[in-house]
Amino acid sequence: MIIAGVDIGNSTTEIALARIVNNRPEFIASGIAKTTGIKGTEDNVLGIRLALERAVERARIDMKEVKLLRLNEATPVISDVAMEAITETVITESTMIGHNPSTPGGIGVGVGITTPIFDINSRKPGEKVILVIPKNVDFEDAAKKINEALSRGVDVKGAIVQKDDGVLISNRLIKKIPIVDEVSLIEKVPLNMPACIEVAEPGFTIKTLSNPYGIASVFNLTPEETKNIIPIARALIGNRSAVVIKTPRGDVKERKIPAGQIKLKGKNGTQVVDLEEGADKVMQALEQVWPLIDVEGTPSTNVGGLIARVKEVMGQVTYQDIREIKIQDILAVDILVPQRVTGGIADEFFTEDAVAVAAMVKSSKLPMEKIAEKVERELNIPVEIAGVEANMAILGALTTPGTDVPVAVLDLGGGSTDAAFMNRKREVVSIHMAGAGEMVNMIIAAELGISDKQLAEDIKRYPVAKVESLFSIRMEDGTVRFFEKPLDPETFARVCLLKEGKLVPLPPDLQLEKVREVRRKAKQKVFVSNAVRALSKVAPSGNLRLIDFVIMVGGSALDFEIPEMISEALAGYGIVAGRGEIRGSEGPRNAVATGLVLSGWEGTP
Amino acid sequence: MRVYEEIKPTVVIYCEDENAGNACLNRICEGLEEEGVPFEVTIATGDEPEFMAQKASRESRIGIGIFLGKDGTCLLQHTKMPYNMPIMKIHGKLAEADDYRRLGANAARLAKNIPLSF
Repeated sequence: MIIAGVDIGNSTTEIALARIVNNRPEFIASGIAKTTGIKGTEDNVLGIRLALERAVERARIDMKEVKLLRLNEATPVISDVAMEAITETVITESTMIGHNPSTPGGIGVGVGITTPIFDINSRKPGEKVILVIPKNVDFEDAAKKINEALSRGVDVKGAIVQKDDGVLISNRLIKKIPIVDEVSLIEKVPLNMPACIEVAEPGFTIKTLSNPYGIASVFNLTPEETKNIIPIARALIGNRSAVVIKTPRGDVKERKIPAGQIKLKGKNGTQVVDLEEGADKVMQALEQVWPLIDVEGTPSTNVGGLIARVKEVMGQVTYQDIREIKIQDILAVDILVPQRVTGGIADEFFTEDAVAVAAMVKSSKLPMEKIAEKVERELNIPVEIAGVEANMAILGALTTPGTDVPVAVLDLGGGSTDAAFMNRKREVVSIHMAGAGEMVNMIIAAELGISDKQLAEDIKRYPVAKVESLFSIRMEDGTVRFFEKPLDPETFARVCLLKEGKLVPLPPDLQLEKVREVRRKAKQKVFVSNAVRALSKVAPSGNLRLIDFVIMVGGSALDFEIPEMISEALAGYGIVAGRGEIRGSEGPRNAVATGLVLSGWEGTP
Repeated sequence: MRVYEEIKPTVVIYCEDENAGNACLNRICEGLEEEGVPFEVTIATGDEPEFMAQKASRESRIGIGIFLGKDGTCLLQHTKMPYNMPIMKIHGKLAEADDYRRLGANAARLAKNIPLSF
């Protein structure tokens, strides 16, 4: 007789096939497929069939030989992630251009009145001007005109150019002036206004325009006005070239969006936290009121919108009224997101503060009976709904060689991080925490400014490398790899992901160090903090030190660095933590499916 | 034969057209100049474009060569690349002025070890 354990997870459906010999299961194959539809709905049947077909094929048996399916009582938790910026920079009446064209022209600081190049003949000798050169003017003509003006005695102090012509113009001038090029929205540059332009030497950054007193001395500002230009100066720090134009009512504002307050209702009281105080404060308050009953945000603020959105999605998924959705856990993380400046001229980006939140709700019991019925009907195999997911996960994880009770299992999934602890008497406590792989993806995408979801997933899963020559790449750890065939010129000098032996180039503005740091930090903030949080909830008398062994299972335990990060963090508590090796062969996958088979035939719960 | 040390590190451009005011050639040179990499232009006629581009790259001390044919076909080549795999190729009839400038800029970027644009 052959039986199958079926585990429907948030992102994958896993199967363990076993033959029952002498009333003991002998495992013969496993299968895996993407979960179809949302976990716990009838749409899952297709995924079950696919995974089962794969397992059956691998075992070289007929589908008819499978006599029993054991389905897990899927934990009715669903999680969702959302992100909201809490600061915003707005430029009114464009007063500033701060960007980094790769090849600006000239060096130095120039102050003058912004003048279109077509009007240069009307300027009198001695007048200080900054020329504005749109893209329909050829660099030769522009250079000629500037030289004419210079020899007439007009004091040309600098130029703002739309095309990438900075060096070409600069090379043809009789006098060196700073030139900022690649200003895409040049028509937005206010004309006939005092302006200051600065280009730093290669390898250096601007000094005058990134200093509030520098701007003040250029434009003779009053102390009051100097106060107002601080955001400009701050925004220009780190640029190689910049332009600041003084318009009568021009202004750059760093607007604080009313982030709102988050209200955590718990069994041990209620806490209200201002989101501006940061994610850490929220998490501290959460610890104080734990266990959580529900979360609310101030209506018509960002946090209000954020919580409402999460609840709305949950409501749709579980077919429940939004008012009945109660948030059982949240994980808040501070992040920095690049945002395009409203009113910018050269596609400027500012880094703004934001908060990412993962939330989890317990829905009413999932309709597992319905799924079971449908599977029975469609596959013609009897179905049994077996025990609780956490218990199954522990049973499966214990097939890892070298493990025994008491033990804790960390299930690192896509939607939630789960922990379960089994003591010597084989009693199990379990917990589900919001925030896992999907949240890491969201943080990576937000902090690197990526909109492609697959790319964010790839950045999470694969190490980065930099192509150093036509034949070699340098990996993020510094090792160099040589290729026999020349690499695609499109990847030349770019930062790439090393995905299954292939190079996938990342957007050109991303630096290797930055990608690596963002990726590792996102994993730290989500998985490491959740591992500690979850384990301390299931540990005997809440003390992490009383846990000796932790087995990590689940899709995210396959990651190339998450298990190591967690092991390292847990080592501080004297815990031995490692990646599971289910049945000595399956790696960290298939724990629940394996547990389902075992629980049916060993008399354990 | 020149002494090796005397050869300036330049991108070598082989141009088939003897007309000095060739518009495509000018665009290529602009691209190189904007990126700040020196180059030298030689009038050369001969075999198929791939071969000429490779020859130009071998002539260059930094191993980067460009061939510009009479019909506007243009190739960017590196000595270490196989001769039938140019870094970038422009087909004369389909090309726009900006393509030549980009090819020139890419030659310079190849020399400076920074990402190319396509």
